[in-house]
Amino acid sequence: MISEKQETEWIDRVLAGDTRAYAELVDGYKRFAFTIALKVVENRADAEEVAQDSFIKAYQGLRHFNRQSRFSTWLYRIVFNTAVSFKRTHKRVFSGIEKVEVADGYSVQGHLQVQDQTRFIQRALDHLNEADRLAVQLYYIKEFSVEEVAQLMGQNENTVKVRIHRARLRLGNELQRILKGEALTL
Amino acid sequence: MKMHETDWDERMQKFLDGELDAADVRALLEAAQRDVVLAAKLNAMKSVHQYLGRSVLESPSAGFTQRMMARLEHLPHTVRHAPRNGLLLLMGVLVAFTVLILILGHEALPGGTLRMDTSRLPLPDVNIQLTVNLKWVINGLILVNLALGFLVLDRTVLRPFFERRAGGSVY
Repeated sequence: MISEKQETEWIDRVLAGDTRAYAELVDGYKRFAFTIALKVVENRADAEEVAQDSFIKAYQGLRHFNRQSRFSTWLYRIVFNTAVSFKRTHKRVFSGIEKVEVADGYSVQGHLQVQDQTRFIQRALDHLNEADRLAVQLYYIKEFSVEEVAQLMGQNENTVKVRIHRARLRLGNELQRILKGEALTL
Repeated sequence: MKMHETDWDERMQKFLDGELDAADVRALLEAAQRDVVLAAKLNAMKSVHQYLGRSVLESPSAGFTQRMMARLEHLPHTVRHAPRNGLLLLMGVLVAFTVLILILGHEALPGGTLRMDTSRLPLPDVNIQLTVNLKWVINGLILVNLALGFLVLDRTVLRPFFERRAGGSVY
């Protein structure tokens, strides 16, 4: 975890013309930036492109960074918005969980194993309302609080909390539905 | 379930986030032992929570930082107009536009043409007669002025506005 002091020092060095200091910032935050991008675009190559573009944008806008929040918070927001724009440009289509028949195409044989549960939850997750899915996935990224997720997504904390709760509840209900279906076939 | 279903849902959410006190946890688990529906729901929620909790920080491919820095080195130097300067420039364009429109509508424009006759100049071997339509010249200036105005408007007002808007909530 990079301290605020260290972050400030690197930013000052970058602003003074030392571009090598930016490599320190990139190194320090690349995993978080890449993970956020990956959660949104759901493709490693695209996520890498988004993360790189976001670091470039942050570099270009560093002079205008007002330091009212942490650099990381500001950067993650850039990553998130860049990723959402990227996804919109590439015209992915989403549907609500209500339209999804998760059990379709799955032949229930024997007890539902942990890996099956994982697969079902993953599939149900992919079909959640996009904002709910992102809220819940970002919340579970290590060290992210509801407040941080809210800042990142540009929404208020209550909205994000509702999204997280709703997403978990829907995933739970979906899993229950599958488990019930399996019990009936036994 | 004696308690309303949404209350149990709320309790389960708090339980997953570790926000439920010991007495409430006990009450929830005891209720789940008595009620199979609640137990199934609690188990499903716990599975979801465990699954989500297994998410890890992903790493980009090796050489990410090096590639990033290489891109920075090849970045074209872009000049950004300060908003204040841009607005002043925009005002200048507007003033010029107004002046040109006033000139165009003025009656003093002699037939809208300007003749240049070099025979009156003390240059013995030069004899050029040039007729310029002043209205065309002013119309051309107005067009150039309009294009410049749109460019300045885009750089100083529209683009920063949409960039700021893009920084807001995307949902």
